[in-house]
Amino acid sequence: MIENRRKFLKKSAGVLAGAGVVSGFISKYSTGFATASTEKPVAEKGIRWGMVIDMRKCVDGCVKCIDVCHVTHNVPEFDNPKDEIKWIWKSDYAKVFPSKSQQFVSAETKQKPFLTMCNHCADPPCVMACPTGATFKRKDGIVEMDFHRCIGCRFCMAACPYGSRSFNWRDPRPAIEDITQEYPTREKGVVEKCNFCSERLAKGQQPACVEACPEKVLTFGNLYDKKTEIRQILKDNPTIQRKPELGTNPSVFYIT
Amino acid sequence: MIEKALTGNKVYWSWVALLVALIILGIYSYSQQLTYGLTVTGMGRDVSWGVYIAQFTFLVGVAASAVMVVLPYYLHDYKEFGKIVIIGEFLAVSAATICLLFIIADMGHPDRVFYVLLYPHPNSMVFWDVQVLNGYLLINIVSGWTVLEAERKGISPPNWVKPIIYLSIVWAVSIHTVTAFLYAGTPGRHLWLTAVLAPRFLASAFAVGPSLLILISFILRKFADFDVGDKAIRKLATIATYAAIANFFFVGAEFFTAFYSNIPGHKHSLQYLFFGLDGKYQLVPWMWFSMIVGIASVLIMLYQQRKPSQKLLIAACSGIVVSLWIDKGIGLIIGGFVPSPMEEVVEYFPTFIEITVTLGIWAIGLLILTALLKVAVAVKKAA
Amino acid sequence: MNEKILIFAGLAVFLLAASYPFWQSTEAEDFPQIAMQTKGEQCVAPVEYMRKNHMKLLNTWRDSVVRDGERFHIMPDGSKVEKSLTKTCLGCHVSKEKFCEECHSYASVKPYCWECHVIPKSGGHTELSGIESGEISKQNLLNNLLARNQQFAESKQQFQEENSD
Repeated sequence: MIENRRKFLKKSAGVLAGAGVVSGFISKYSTGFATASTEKPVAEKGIRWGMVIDMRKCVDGCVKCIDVCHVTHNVPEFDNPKDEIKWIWKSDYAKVFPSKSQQFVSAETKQKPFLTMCNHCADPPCVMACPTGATFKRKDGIVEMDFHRCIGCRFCMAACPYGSRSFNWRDPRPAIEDITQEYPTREKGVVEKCNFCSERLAKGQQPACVEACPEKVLTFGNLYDKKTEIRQILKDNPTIQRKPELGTNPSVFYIT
Repeated sequence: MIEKALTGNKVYWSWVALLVALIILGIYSYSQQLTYGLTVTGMGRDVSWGVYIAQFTFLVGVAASAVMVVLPYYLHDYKEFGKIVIIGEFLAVSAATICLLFIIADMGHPDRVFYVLLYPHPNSMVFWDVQVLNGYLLINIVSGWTVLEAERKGISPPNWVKPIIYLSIVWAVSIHTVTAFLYAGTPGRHLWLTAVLAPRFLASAFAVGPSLLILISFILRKFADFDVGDKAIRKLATIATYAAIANFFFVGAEFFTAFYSNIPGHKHSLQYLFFGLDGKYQLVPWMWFSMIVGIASVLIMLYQQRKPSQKLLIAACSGIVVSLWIDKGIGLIIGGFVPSPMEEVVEYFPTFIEITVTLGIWAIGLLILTALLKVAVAVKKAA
Repeated sequence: MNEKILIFAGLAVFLLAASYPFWQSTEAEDFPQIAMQTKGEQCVAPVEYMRKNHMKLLNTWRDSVVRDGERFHIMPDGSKVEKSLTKTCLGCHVSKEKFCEECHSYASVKPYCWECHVIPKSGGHTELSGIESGEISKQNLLNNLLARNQQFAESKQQFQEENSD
C-alpha cells in the first residue's frame, strides 16, 4: 500500500512535471535576455553544497584526500589507464584551466598539479543528457548517481565538459584491495563520479577529502548561506571556476 | 509473402550462409563482451564512444535517406521511382534495425534498455532518438509491406497508408536531426558543438543513401535479373551528387570557422583528424583518404552526368559511400573525443571483438535487407 | 488439408508442453524452511507482508534513499531505523546464506543486490549515527569531525601500510 500511494504520487507528479518542463524551458531560456554574462541568476534559497579549493595551501605530492576518497567509496585501481576510475585526482593547471591565460606563465605553474573532481554544476549538462534520470540533481545541489538506474549509455560522459565521469569498463571488485563495508562497490557497465560524500553529509559529516586534508586546502559548505565559512572565503579571495563560459555554474571554486 | 525469401539459387544461399557465419561470430564476440564488460573494446575513459556509436550515426543517415525516393514518388508523383521506392523503404527498415542493435551493443547494461521508456526523461536527446528511430522503423515496415502486399494482389494500396507515407517523409528528416542533436548539444565538445551538424548529417545521408541504392540496383540487375530503370538510377545519381557537394560545402564551412576564427578549442579536433595533434596522428591518413576519394567521386559523378558510364557511376557511388563512412563512421565520433575535456590526446583503436560484433550487426542488417529485397523483387517481377 | 492437421497437432503438443508446470501441480513441494534467526524483536513491516513484498519494499527504500535522500524508516512502534539492506535487514537476520539465499535459490531468482552491496562481515544492529539529512549544525559537524578524523587517520595509516610494499 505504501508503494501504491508512492507510485500514485509519483505518477501525478509526472503529469505535472510534463507541464512544468514546457514552462521550465521557457523560463530557462528567457533568463538569457536579462544579462549577457556567463552567470545565470539563481534564487539563493535552501542549500547548494559547494567547495573552495585553496591551491596555495595544497602540497605537491600529497594525495591524502585522493586516497581517503577512493578508500571510502571503494574506487578500484586499474593499471590500464583505459579502464581508470577517478573521483578526485590531480592534473596540470594548464589542463584543468585550458581557457585561462597560459601566456608567459612559468612551466612550474603550468604543470602545477591541481585537484579536480565533479563540479556539481548548478546547471549540469550530464543531467540533461541522461535518458533515464540515473544521474540527477538533488535539492541540495549535489549531482548524484543512481547506479541502479544507469543503463551505461555513457551519454553523460560525452556531455560532461570536465571529464569528471568514469565508466566501469570491467568488474571493479577484483581491483579494490580492501572493500570498505559502509559503501557499496559498483558493477561493470555503470558510470560513476564524486558524490560530494552525500552519504556522509546525511550523517552530519563533512566530505572525506575535506576531513583528510591536513593543510585545510578544502572548504565545504552551503553556498546559499551568507554566514558560512565558504561564503566568507569567496568574499575575501579572488576565485575561479572551471570553464565558466559554458554556463554550467560549477559549485567548486579555486583559489590559485 | 515472406516465403519468397526461402527460395533461391546457389549464389543466394552462399551469400546467406556467409552472413549467418558472420552473425554467429558476432554473437560469440558479444557474449565475451557481456561476460567481461566493455573493457574488451578499444573504448576507455577518454574516448568513451567508439565504432558502435559511429556505425549507429552513419546508419541513421542511411535509414533517413529513404526519403529521397519516397518524396519524389509519392509527393511529386515521379513515376520513374516506382520500382526503387520499395528498395529504399526496405533499406531504411534494415538500417534502422541495426541502428537499434548498435545502441544495445554499446550499452553497459543492455538488460536495462527499457528503462529509457520506464523512466522517460524528455530532456535527454537519447529519449527522443529512441522514440523517432522505433517510430521510423515501424512506419517503414508498415508502409513498405502494405504497398507491396497490395501490388502482389493486384489492387491499389489502402487509403490509410497514404498519411503514413507522408508522415515518413517528415519523420525521416527528424531521425537524423535528432541524432545530430545528440552531439550538437554537448557543451564541451567543439567538433560537435556546431549548428551546421544537423544539416551536414542530412546532406551526407542524402549522398550515401542514393549511392547505396544505385549500387543495390546494379547488384539486383546482375544477380536477380531485376531492373529499376536507367532513368531512376540517373535521377538518384543527381541527388547523390548534389547532396555530396552540400556535404563538402558544410565541411569547408567548419574548416573556415575553426581556422579563420583561430580559436584553439575549435581547431583542436580538426587538427587531430587532419594534421595530427601532440604527435598523435592515427586518423590523418584515413581522413585525407576520405576527403580525396569523396571529392574525386563528386567530380566523377559530375563528369558521368554528361557522358554516362556504368563503370564510372559504380566507382563514384562506392567512393561516396566509403568516403562518408570514414567521415561519419570514424572521424566525427572519435574526433569529438580528441582532445578530451582535460586536453589529453588519447587514441582509440577498435579491438578484434569490437570489430567482429560490428561485422555481425552489419550482417544482421544485410540479412534482413536480402530477405526483404528477395520478397520485393519476386512480387515486382510477378506483377 | 494434411498440413493443417500437422500444424494443429504441433500446436497442441507445444501448448501442452508449455503449460505443463501449471496443470501438473499447483502446490510447491519442499518449500525451504527459512531459519528466522533474528536479533531484534520486530520487523520493519508485518511478516506476512514482508514475505510477499520484501522486494517491493527494498525497491521503495532504495529509491527514497538514493533519489529523495530519505534515509529513515518509521517502525510500527514509532522508532526509526535506517533504510538499509545491509545494516537494518541483515543486522537482524544475521545470516545472508540462510535468510536470503536459500529461498532465492529455491525460487531461482537472482537479485543483483550483492553485485555492489557489501555483505556485512558480522551482523549486528547498527545504531543510528549522526542526524537526519539536510541541516548540519556547526556543533554537530565539529563533534563528528573530531571523532571521524581519528578514525580516518587510522584507516589511512592502515591503507598506506598495506600499500607501501
